[in-house]
Amino acid sequence: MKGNGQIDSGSQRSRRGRVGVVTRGSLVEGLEMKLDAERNVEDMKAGKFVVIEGDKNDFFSMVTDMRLDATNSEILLHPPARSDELLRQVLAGTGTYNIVSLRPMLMMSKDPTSRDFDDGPRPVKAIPSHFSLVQEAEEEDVACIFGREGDSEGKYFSIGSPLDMDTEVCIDMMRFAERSNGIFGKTGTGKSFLTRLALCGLIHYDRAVNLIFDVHNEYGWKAMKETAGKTSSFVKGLKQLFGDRVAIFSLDPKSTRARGIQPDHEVYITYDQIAVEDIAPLQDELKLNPTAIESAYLVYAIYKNSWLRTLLSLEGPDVEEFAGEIGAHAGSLVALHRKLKRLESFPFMVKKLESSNGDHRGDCDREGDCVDRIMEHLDAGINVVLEFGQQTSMLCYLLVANVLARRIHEMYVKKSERFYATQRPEDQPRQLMITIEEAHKFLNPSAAKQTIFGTIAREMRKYYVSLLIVDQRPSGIDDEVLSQIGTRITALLNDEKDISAVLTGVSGTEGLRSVLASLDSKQQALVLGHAVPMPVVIKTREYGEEFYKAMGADVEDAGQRRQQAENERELLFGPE
Amino acid sequence: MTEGGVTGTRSLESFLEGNTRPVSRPQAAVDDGVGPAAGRTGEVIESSTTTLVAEARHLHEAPDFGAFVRVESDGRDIVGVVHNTRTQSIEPNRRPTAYGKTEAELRREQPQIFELLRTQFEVFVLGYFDGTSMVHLFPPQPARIHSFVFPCTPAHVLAVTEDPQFLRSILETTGLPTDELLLAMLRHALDQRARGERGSRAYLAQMGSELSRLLRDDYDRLSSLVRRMTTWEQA
Amino acid sequence: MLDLSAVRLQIDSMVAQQADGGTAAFEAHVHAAMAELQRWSGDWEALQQRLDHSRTSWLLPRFASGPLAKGVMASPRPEQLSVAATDGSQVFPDRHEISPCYLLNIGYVLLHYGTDERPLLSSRPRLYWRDEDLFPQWGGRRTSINRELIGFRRSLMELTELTELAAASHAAGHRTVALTDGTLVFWGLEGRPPDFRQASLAALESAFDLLARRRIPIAGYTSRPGSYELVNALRVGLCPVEGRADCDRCPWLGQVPPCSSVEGVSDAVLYRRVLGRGERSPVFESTSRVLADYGPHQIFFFYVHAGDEVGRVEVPRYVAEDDELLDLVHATIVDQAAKGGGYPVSLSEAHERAVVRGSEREGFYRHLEEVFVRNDIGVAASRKSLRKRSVSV
Repeated sequence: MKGNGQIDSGSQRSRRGRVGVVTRGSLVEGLEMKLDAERNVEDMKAGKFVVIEGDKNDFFSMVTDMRLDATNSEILLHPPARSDELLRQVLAGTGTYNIVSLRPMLMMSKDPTSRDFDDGPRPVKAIPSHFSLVQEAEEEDVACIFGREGDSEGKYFSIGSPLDMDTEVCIDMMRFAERSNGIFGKTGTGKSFLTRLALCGLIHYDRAVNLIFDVHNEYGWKAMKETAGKTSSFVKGLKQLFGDRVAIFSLDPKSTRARGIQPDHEVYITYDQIAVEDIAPLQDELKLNPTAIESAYLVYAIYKNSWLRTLLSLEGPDVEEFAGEIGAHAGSLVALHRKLKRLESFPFMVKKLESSNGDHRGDCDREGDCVDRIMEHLDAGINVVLEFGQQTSMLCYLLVANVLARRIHEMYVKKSERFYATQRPEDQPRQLMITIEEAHKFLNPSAAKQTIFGTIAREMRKYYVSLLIVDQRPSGIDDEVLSQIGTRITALLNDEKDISAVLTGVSGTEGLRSVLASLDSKQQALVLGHAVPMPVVIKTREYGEEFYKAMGADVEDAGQRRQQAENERELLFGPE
Repeated sequence: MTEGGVTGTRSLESFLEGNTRPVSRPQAAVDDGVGPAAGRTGEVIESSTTTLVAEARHLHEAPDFGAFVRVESDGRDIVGVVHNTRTQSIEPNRRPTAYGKTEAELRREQPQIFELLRTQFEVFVLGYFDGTSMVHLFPPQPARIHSFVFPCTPAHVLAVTEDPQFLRSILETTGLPTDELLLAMLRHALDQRARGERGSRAYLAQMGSELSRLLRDDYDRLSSLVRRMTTWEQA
Repeated sequence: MLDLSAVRLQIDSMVAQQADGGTAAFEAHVHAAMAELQRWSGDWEALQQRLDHSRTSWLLPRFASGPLAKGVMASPRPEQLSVAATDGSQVFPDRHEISPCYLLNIGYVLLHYGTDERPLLSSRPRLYWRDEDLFPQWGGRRTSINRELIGFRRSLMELTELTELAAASHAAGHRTVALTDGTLVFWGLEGRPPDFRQASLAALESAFDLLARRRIPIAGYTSRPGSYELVNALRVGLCPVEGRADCDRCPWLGQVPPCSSVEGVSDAVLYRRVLGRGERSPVFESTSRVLADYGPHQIFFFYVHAGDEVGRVEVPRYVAEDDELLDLVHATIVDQAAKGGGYPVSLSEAHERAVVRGSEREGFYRHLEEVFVRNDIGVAASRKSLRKRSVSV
């Protein structure tokens, strides 16, 4: 301890938030702290952020477990009566005491003259000595580790605050955008809020352009806030916050409009745009057997892009004959045909874009291939929200997401390869992040090998495309994919398998398990991985007026508000 | 060989002259209200590093059990606690017997017996004052024989009992009525605090915690001690 | 070393024989004495006359009052009263010890009754070592001091110190009675050189003078007195020889004389049967030969039933002839004995103050020796004395 400043801050700290002293532990298993007698064990929540003051380093640590203990088993056999208040007070901290398990996450040199000091927080390679003081973390500690919003590089984005603290916890948006990320949590724990927060951060800081498969219509325009009780309220969507920087594409424009939103574009998919690879992930949904897919490849071998159109143009009895023609197994081709017929019921499926111009498909202009349109937007840095409207069937979702993502990925591969060839900065593709919900449908161990999402997840940022995986059952996702996930933001999980899945590929997970299982079911999340220096439990940032202002959408002009009011009235009472 | 005739002019005090151990002396010769002896409660008659025996200045007027006392010796104030008081005959072969009379009657009709009784109290040494600060160590030299014993002032009691070290001293010493003594001392310590600004409860809790550490292997004893302390609060 | 168990057997047989042979005969003597006492009780003046004319080898009393066989009850003690008492003890020079010197220790007691005033209890040792202390000159001869002389000196000092104490108490406003242990008759003066007697008697006389002047009663109390003065008188009464008894011409020479029927009975034994608790006998005047030099302060005595025993109380003439003082002494003795469990409490306290116990005596000599050694004065303790202290095995 050479630096005066350090000593000062140290002593200041000990005046404030001393919670206990380190008594035992190991680097591998974590540390144990004896809680000070005057501290109430009920304040030591799992996930709480504390600082251990070693001789040379501060160790930033997380509370992972607590235990009640007694020096003498007699005390436990004859516990003091409720009325023996003095005895209980006397025993607290002496005869009875509390042990709190701590997991050091980062260490930072206290000596400003040492070389390590400039490196800032480093991974833990040492443990503090016996009886090192444990302090409550303070704002500076949090800022020191997680950075502060409004830094010169514009990379820190606050997503909440540590437990029992008011200071902000930031994630590094540059690092967040670099890799695929996951947002997990069981139903009703606020996954979509977390997702919305993350997306806002990405858009606000312009760290990646987003393509969002918004199967539940939650991100584009306003969404209902899930609150207990009857006073449901609405929160703003991305379009409301970022205006022109967000475009809403809709598969079901009628439904979208019915909710008072004018979609920027309608999406149609022609049969020719659907490849056999797009059908393969639907095996489960369509209950196809593997030979059906082989049959599809036989059709494709002859008819190429028009394979699906050709197949679906056949009527029942002709299919067997057709099978004979192309040398396919009649039974499986019939089954394939029968099941793919379901696709014809989707309103956004069109035979050919030119031929279906202007008739029953609504009043929005259809300008060529919608994938091209999406790419145009993405190239321009405009984030795309794809609303599904009423088309919320899993079949539809899987099909559309696969078809679009595959084609966009193809384009990104081409762009990237061109950039690698030219190495001109203007050729560098924008980082794209694709948000998918119900991710285990695409990324379960069998699907992950077939879908484009599995590919994206595995190849990482080579082609400038990454995923934002939103899921309630992370155990359903392929381990290989999970291990590639950079940053995990996870709300409460109960299922042991889900917890294990989320922590796949993270070292020192024992303490984090208990933390995860003990999160509040609302507004709490554990953040760990690439974008944060250490795992941290946060109370999520309030998604409300203040946040809107911070995102730059502070003042809505009067016209917009009137329009909105009209829309809402229309929604409630129908058109006048 | 004879000293000649009697004078008839001697005073009663003259019968005490040259007498280093007056068993009893007339009232007038006893009390000296000023000077270094003023306010004393006793006088050291046996001394060792750990324990003192003092004779009370007046019969039956030893300090209370558990009271803190101070002995001025060798220019330092040795501090201890009264742990045993006894009143008995000064002559080993003469034992008090029952008279069947009230003390007032006895004082009028058998005045000599009270002169043959002595109240002595034993003091366990807790430490000494180095200037104004309490040192919880035995003094380098024991108190001198015939040093005067004074009651501790409230400030002294506060200083001695601030550090729970005195609890350990008592607990670790054999031959004391340990638990009773501890409680009596705490009671005296508490009396000084109840009047002050520090909450008596906080003090008891602090001392109790120390006891809990010291008696970690004897929960029965601890809980009995603490429960008895609890009753003071309610009183 | 004494074989105590062997001695014990012999003691047992001795006591058994005395009880058997003694009791019946003794009881007969007492019976005879009682009869004689009753006979002379009212006629004491006649007996006195016979005594006046008789010649005996025994010490006879002079009757100062009668009747002889009737007790006098004490009046109650005054509510407020102070009792002064002294006693003394000595440490004799020991030929085996190192230095010729001796120690007198006087114990003083002044007890105040009926008030809450604290008593005075103290003692004062005095060491005598000067040449004139150890080798006084009497009758022109340098004599070496001996136990007898030291004992005498001690008795005299008890009396003079008691006088001083009582006078001081009196001066302090206390109504005081002075008590001393034993007799006021200094028979030890008998046969001493005249200058020695004169000096002692002068001290004695000045003490009595002082007390008489201030009307402070003084009394000497003898516990279990072995005196036979009254019984001697009864023997004279028993003598059948007409007119006067003359033992030198006793017709029963070589035979058992008639007067022997009361032999062996002491005055106290007799009065034990006569006096009720708290009562005193009539007053007698002592006729001890030494009292011839006492001048005006002849010594009188009476017996008193002090509860457990009959004790003998001696007083000077000024007390004996002053009914109030006599009564005060009587009351005081009875009260003191009651408080002291049969023996005057002030005297037993004075004894406690004065007594030099064996260990104290040893300590005294040891200290003496140490000081001598420290001052490099040759220690001449004899080998025998050293061996007494530590015997090697």
